[in-house]
Amino acid sequence: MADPNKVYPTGLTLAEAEELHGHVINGTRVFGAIAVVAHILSYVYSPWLH
Amino acid sequence: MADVDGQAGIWLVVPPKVGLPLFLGTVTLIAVLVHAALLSHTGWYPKYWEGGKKVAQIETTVVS
Repeated sequence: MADPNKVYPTGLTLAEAEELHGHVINGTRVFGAIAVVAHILSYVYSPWLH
Repeated sequence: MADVDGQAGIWLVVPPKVGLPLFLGTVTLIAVLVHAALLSHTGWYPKYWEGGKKVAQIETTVVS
């Protein structure tokens, strides 16, 4: 990966892939945070796991 | 937003047009399966979705 301008078979450069992956990771974090809150609410307000 | 896990290279091998729908679709599929399992294996979850049915009132007649 010496050439930063190299376009890979997917049509992306390494910099573009890293930018896209940053969005994927951030989206996963937001999803995870919402999921944690949802599970806490489910545990508190439903018979789940009681 | 930086690539924090060092796995960005996947998008140099897997086209985002394929990988993103596959990833998001898998997450959605699992979520739907979990909710379907809850619906078919618990009583409280269908009741929760059924929503605000009031508890039946006890009708009494006062005989005087």
